[in-house]
Formats: sequence, C-alpha cells, structure tokens
Amino acid sequence: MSKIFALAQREMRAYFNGPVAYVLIAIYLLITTMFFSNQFEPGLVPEMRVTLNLMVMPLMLLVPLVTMRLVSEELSRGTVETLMTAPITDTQVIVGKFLGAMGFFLLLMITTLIYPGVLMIYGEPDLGPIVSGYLGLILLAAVFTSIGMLASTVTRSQIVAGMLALTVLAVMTLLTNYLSMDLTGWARRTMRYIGFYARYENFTMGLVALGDVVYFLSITVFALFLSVKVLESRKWRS
Amino acid sequence: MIDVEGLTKYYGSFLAVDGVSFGVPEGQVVGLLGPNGAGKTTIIRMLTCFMPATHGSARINGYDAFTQHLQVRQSVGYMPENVPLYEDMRVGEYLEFRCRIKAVEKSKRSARIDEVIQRCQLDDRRKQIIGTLSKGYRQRVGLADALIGNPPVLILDEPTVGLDPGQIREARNLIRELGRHRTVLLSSHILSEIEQICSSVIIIAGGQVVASGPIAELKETLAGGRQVILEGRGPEPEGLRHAIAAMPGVNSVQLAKCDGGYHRLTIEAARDADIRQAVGDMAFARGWSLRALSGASVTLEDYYIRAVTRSGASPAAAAGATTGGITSGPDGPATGDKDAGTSGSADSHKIGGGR
Repeated sequence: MSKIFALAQREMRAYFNGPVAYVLIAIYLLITTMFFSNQFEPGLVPEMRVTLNLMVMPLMLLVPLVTMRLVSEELSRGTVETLMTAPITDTQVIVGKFLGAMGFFLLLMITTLIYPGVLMIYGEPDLGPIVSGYLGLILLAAVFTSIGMLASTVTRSQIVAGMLALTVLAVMTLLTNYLSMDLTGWARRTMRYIGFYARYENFTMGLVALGDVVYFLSITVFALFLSVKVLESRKWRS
Repeated sequence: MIDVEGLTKYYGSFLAVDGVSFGVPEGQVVGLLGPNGAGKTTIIRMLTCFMPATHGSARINGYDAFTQHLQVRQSVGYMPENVPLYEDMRVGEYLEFRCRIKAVEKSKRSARIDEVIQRCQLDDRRKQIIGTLSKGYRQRVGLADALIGNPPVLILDEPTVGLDPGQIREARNLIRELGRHRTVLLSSHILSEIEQICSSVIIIAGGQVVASGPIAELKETLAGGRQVILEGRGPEPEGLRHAIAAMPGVNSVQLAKCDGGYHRLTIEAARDADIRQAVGDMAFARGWSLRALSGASVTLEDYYIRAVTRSGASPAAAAGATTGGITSGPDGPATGDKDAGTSGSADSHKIGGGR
C-alpha cells in the first residue's frame, strides 16, 4: 500500500515539477469561469447545474493531456526497466499512477469550488445538487483517467496515447449524447445507457442513482484491469 | 548466489540466448563479457525479472526468477544500460522514491539515502534536477539507486559505458569495493575492464557461453601453449628442428624459410616449460647465429577476440575452454577444440580440452 502511495505521489509531483500542471489548471479555470459567469446573472437561479454540465467538455480535452504520459513516458524513456525491476507488481504500478492522476484532477476540482463559493456569498443555492454534481464529476474523471491510462499502456508514443484517449472519450461522451438526441426507441435508450453524458446529467440534477455509480465504477475498474494486462503483456510480446 | 541453467530466449523466431548455464558464487564480482548483441542484456533482463525466459531456469539468492518475482527483485539491485532515470526529479527526491518502492523501512530511509549518496559521491548534487546532470553523475545516481535497498546481489549492465577515463577509474574502484560484501554481476564488452574489476568472467558470444571461469585460471589455461619463435642462420636446419623437437616439454616445431638464408622455427611447448634458453643454447652449439629469439603466450584478449570474431559464423566453433568453478554452455567444448586448432592465427594451438 505504501508503495502505491509512493507511486501516486511521484506522479503528482511529476506534474507540478514542470509548468504543465499550472498551465492546465489555469486554462481549465479560464474556460469554466466563462461558463460560470454566463450563469451568474441577476434573476437566474443560483445553481451549478449548467456550469457543471459544461465543465465536462474541457475536462474531456484535458484528461488525455494529463494521462498520455503515465505509462508511455516510462516506455519511451526506458524507465519502465527500473520501475518493473523494483519489487512492485504491475497492479501496484497502474493503481499508483491512476491515483496520482486522480489526485491532480481532485486538486483541479477543488479550485473550481470557487464557483459554488461565490453562489453561497451572493445567494442561497441548494447544496444537494452541487454535492451530487461534484460526486458525478469525480466519478467521470475516474472513468476518463482509466481510459487515458489504458491508451497510455498500449503505445510508447505520448501523442498517439493522447489522441487515442481523446477519440474514445469523445465517442463515449459526445457522440453517444448527440446520437441519443436524434435517435428514437431502443437505439436512443442504448445511447443513453452507454453514453457518459446522460448519466452524468443525472448527478448534476441531484439524482445519485446506484446504476450510474456502478456503471462509472465498473468502467474504471475494467479499464484499469485491462491496463494491468497490457502492461503484463510486454513480457510475452517482446 | 546466481544459478542459471539452460537459459534460452527467443525474440519471435530469433534466438537471442541459447541454453546459457553459469553460476555466480556468493561474494564474487563476476563479469559477463561479450560483444554488442551477444545477448548480455537479454540475460540480465531475464535475471532481473524484466522479461521471462523461453526455456531454462534461474535462481537468485535462492529464489526462482520466474515464479518468485518480488523476492528476486527485492534481492537484486539493478542498474540498466544507459541508466534510465526520471528527468524531472531531484536526486534526493528520486532516491527517496526508490527507497519507498523498494520497501526500505521508514526509520532507516534517511540513513540509507545519506549512506548511498556519500558512497557514490553525490553530496553536492542532492538537490539538482536529474535531467541537468552529466553522464557521470547520472551513472552514480543509477548506482546509488541499485544500492539503496541494500541488496545482496548487484547486477550492473555496462556500468562504465559513456564515462570519461577518470570516471571509469572511479566507477571501477567503487564496484570493486562494493564487491567485497556483495555478489556482483556486471556486463561489459571491454575485456580489460572485466580483468580489472572481476575475479571471474563469463564470455558470451552469439547467445552462448564460450568460456567461463576465474580470470587467473582462464588465463593460465589459455596461456597453456607457450610459443617460442627462433630466427637464425646455420647448418642443417632440419637437424636442428629434430633436436629441438626431441627436447622435453616441446610439442611441435615448424620450420620455415625466411629472406636472406634465414630460417624461422616456430616451437610450441607446454606452458610450464620455459625453453627459450635451452633452444638458444642448442642453436649455438650447432653453430647457428641467431637474429631473433622470442617467446609469446596466448592471452585472454587473443582468446576473447577470436571467440568474438568467430561467433558471427558459428558460435559453437569459438568455444573452447572449460575450467573449474563455472560451467560453460552445453555444446561448447565438444566442437571447440577441433575448430580452434585449424584457425589461421599464430597462437591458435591447443586451447581448452586439448590437454
């Protein structure tokens, strides 16, 4: 367990050792502030629903930038050799790195708590949907991160890993949502079932459904499991 | 401490390591010597559990390298070739991280870090970012990392590659010192380096062990054929040849004509017989005047170069010496002697099983 924590801490530090983390946080805040300020008008209901819904889009673009280096960098720099000859398992490596990236996203979300803070100063927002919305955002970030991790384990090129992750996330978040609006009947239901966005909307409306939580968690665990398997496969592929 | 038995590795259909067997006794510094592409790194990667073998087995510190990964990794301090490091971390930070994933107890961590930093002379670089370090310092950080878990076995892949001569000497001294309390396996393609650091050597070519044993013993065996070359002028060269051939300790004499009426006698003798003076005396007694009389012996270097250059055509053909202590590859000695004997070079006689 302490080994996993050490790995997570190293990943966190890797982001903050360079300018990457600060730049990404600044851009994310800049974009989400625009969303928030549009919703922060006299006469509007003091709520975070629309802002939280819109926050998915920049998160989706940002996650691949953060996760693409997780394993690809180890593979291309050769540090995977020192890492995987230390007394740690492949599972510990993946979980540690996942927690490190999640730590970064949690930090990112904490910075966006300014918005509900402002709402509380100037109005009386209903805290329930805000809390459930952030819970949804954290779960969604976990799903995104695990998919980004999987993309990063399959290639030594960070660019490829990033593009791959972005494609998968865009399909699962945007395309499914777009199709669900045009389609009808069972096709629409299927799109709403597998798509991330429809489920996420439930959270921002204040609806924490067990099915949504289980769906997000199981995708995360499954993607991490596949990452471990891909990392292990390097042994018999070489 | 390290026992390797029939280790074989295929990359796809390419045979990189072919049934390698050797042993490294506890507390010894052993060199894995071979040209680039001989399979050294592949062997080392299999020993450090980085990749599995196709066939064969390896035991390190009593643990099986293919089933007891964590125990083996815990017992081995490994420095890979070219020393991959996290460029963005500071030296102290990196060693702290490595301490944690190598499960060094929290209470002992800072003492361990201080010790290896002092050992590897990194005191003044502790706060420096690894990406800005010079090659020599990176090497030291890699070595410090290998040492940090205080492992009983150290495996170093090309530890002196890319260093300047001063740094090479420092690294050698350090490794030699570390070898006093640990088992060290290091790879290199430079013979003189292995000779200076190691007590034993395993020579690898074409994925096979072509010779192995304590360096002194190997030298002794290989230097077995002592060679004396005599050049001179005088009556009855054939008679002299027969007389020398009849001397005790002489194995064979070859006679050849040189320019200006001189003859050259190439005498091959047993290793313990220094016959130079006796040969000279005999030539004088028969009324010869000499222009040269020299002795030569087969060196480990000659042997290594021959093993390496021949390995391209047929790895097994270069095999020859098998000496005590360390066993060599499976079909080395059987085919080696015959081929070595027909080699064109002057000192190609009787290596290994010939005696």
